[in-house]
Amino acid sequence: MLEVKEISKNFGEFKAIDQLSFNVKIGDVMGFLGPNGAGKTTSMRVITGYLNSDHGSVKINNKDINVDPIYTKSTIGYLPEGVPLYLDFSPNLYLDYVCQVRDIKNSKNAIKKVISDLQLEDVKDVPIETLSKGFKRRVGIAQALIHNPKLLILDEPTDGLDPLQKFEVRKLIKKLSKTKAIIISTHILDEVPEVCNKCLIINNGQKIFEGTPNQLKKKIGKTLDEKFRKLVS
Amino acid sequence: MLALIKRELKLYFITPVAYIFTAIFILTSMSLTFYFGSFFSSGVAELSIFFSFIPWVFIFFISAVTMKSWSEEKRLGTIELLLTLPIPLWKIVLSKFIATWAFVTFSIVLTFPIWITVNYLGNPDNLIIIGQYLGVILMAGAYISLGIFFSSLTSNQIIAFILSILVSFLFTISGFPLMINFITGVLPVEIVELISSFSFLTHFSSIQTGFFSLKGLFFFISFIALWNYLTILKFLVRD
Repeated sequence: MLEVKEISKNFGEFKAIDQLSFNVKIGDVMGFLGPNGAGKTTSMRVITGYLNSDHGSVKINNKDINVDPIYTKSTIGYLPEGVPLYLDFSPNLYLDYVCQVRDIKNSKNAIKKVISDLQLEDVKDVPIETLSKGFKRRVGIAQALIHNPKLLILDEPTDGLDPLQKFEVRKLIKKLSKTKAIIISTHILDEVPEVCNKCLIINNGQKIFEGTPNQLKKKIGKTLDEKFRKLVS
Repeated sequence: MLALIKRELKLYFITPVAYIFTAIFILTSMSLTFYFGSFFSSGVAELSIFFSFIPWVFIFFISAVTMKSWSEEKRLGTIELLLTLPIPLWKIVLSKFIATWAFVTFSIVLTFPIWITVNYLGNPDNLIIIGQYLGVILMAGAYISLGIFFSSLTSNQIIAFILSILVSFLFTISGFPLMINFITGVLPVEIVELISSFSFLTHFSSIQTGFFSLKGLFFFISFIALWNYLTILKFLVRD
């Protein structure tokens, strides 16, 4: 599904990503881990086509993102860092706009489905500006899901949610993983064994671990937190 | 693309900002005409006085309208969602331009009471007035394309506003008689002609007679195309 091959990205002298390679296939939920500034968001931005890489290639269904950007972008559902949204719009109006720009047939049903999946019924006509952080995040996830993408890229999807909402979103991700390839960046390590079947740790733009959450645990033992601290320090 | 244009227009009209901008534009252009243009005492039933103030009002009005175009998307981060949509970049850039142009055209059309006034007071040549209105709308496109480009450079609306005012002012004033007289004494004739040929006023004055000159039409259309192209280029060469 997704094939990332030796991508590098520099910002001036700073190496944000350095020769990063990995693959994700349908059924995978890959936890993308690393300390702040490790290059997680930059990697996601390159994969989604927001940033151009300096080196390497990204292919989705064997199509290069630079050769066929319209196709590759149409297969991705993306929740950017910080959940940017048009604050004057209501969730309903915003999702309707997303349906129109993505040319989604039967948009009413698509909106109804994501509103129900993300439990947005009560706030669907309220300006996004007035919503809590948790609701905003759920609207962000809703816009990423509405076109039923095969590749889902979520930058910290559960950040700011209360425990119940976190549980619901994780449940949703698990449900979606059967038919999609999913990449989640997260700071919450406990989330990894719960929802992910694959995990990738990067530091200073370089891959330092790739495997299953169990392999990660086995490699050093003890808790994931300890392992994580050890790897990135 | 239509959906993008519709969203841009909704963003204008969902808050009172668009209505306030339109009201200020109408009030400013009207009051300049009536108070400083001696509209009534001129005793002529035509709108040339009104139209002669428009470029100066545009410098501020259009810079204010366009300043948030891309700056706001950058500040909110929504630019990331916009540029990762499966839509070609040129369509995204053009849809912002078209929506803003439509909004400004709406504001220009709302100055129609002054047209009714001259028809009530005398017998103006309405064909000329229609030509003048079309010319003003075309010139507005030039100011908008420029303003949107400067908005694409920064996430700070105020910086976008000031840059747009500054450059719009230069493109306007370079054909102003006072300015031409001043530079004629300093620069060779060819350069003076070159500078004034880039002025909105020079091309607008030919349109102001109510008849489109091909030169004026070509100037404004290529000006709009150039600045939109620069905006596209700005995003193509982004990191």
